[in-house]
Amino acid sequence: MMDHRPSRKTLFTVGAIVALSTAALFLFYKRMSPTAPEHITTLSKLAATHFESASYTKIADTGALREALLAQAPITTPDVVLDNAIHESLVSAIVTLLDIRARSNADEYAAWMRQRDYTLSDRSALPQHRQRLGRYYYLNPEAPLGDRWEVFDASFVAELRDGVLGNSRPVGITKAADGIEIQYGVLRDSASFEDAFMPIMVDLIQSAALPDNPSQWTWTPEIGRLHWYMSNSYSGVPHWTPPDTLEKLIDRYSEVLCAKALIVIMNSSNRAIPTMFSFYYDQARETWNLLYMFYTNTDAVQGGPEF
Amino acid sequence: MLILFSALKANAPGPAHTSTLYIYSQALPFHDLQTLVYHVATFSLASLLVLEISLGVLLIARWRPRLVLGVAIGALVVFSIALGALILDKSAPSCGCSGALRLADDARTENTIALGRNLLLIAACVWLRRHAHGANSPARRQDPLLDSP
Repeated sequence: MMDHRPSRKTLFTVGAIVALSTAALFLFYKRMSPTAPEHITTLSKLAATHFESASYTKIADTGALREALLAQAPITTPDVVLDNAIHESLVSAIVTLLDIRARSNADEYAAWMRQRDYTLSDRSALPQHRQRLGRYYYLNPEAPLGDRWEVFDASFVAELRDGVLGNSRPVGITKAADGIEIQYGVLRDSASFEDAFMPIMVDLIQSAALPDNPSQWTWTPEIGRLHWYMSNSYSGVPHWTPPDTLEKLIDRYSEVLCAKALIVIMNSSNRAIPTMFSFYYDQARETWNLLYMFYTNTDAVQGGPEF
Repeated sequence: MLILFSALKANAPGPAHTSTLYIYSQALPFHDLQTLVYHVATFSLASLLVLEISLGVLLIARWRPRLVLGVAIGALVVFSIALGALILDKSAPSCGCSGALRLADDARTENTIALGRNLLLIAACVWLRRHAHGANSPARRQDPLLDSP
């Protein structure tokens, strides 16, 4: 009678294949989705739980959105005497920006930019930023860069479409009290935007006293302010250049009013995306210029905003 | 060698994933399929790692060498065709066959080196296959090493 039991050699061979394959796949998937440090993931989970349980104001209702931003956003101005009309014009700019992004219409966004004398930024800088050029070029890393408009159009539309790298198309802004804040600062003799907000940062860091172990953190007003800074963030490449850069305005006026809008936007899957908008004010044109946009502290997206 | 290259790719899958994505994106240039293409590319690369490890272990164990060498030659020919296509495309990325280990500064040279290595491996496999004995051949039954349990 034949013995059908597998030989020791066969068992060893199969065992080696299974063990090595398992190790390789474990390493492969771990490397394909790197994990953030514990304090970052803890903050991200706390923010998601906190904001995703709150209701939100729909962006499609731009009147209600404007009212919500004016009524709900605490204004932090350590050394700025703020003109209310200038604050309202910032809110109007944010409403327009969110409204166009909600409809993910690249033509409309471009029209808004051109109406304010923005131009598409220099194409020659694009190849070196290729890895940060948004989802279209992330997913098609060697796709030929078309003309400047094609790059913007592909990047803008791809970013705001629900895809493998997340869904950042905004449909609302949170109604949670600590989900919106507008900060103002003045930049003098420096082209580093963050210098305008140093007093706010210093105050925040001095007042921070969190337990060392992130697993002991719970959502508190303190965490509500810190989560904007202690986080992973995704920045995109600006596609548009304003008529006057921040550096030019500082040269011209010696000081420039700057603003940071910290707004938790909600996407169509009810995921919270804390978003940081940086603006500076052009007093001659009476317009707010968008300098940066960041998504922070969220696992709802894996890429930066296109703007 | 197959196991080594599988380990290099598992440790730094980025370049190989990029080239796999590139090949699939060229074959399926539809924006609406980007999520599907991304997942298929990831799955294909994971499958490739398992295939390379399996072939490597089976060759070391000398399990049905003619069959395994035949499969290895087939796989290497397919990869070589893909490498040839990447070499012909000026904007193609590096194949990422050796993970983060760069064998040349530019993608085309690196892909050419990888193709050369594949051709050598194919030649070696063909030679070995000619001299290997099938699992049930008389020669195999006489070989005490191959018959060891």
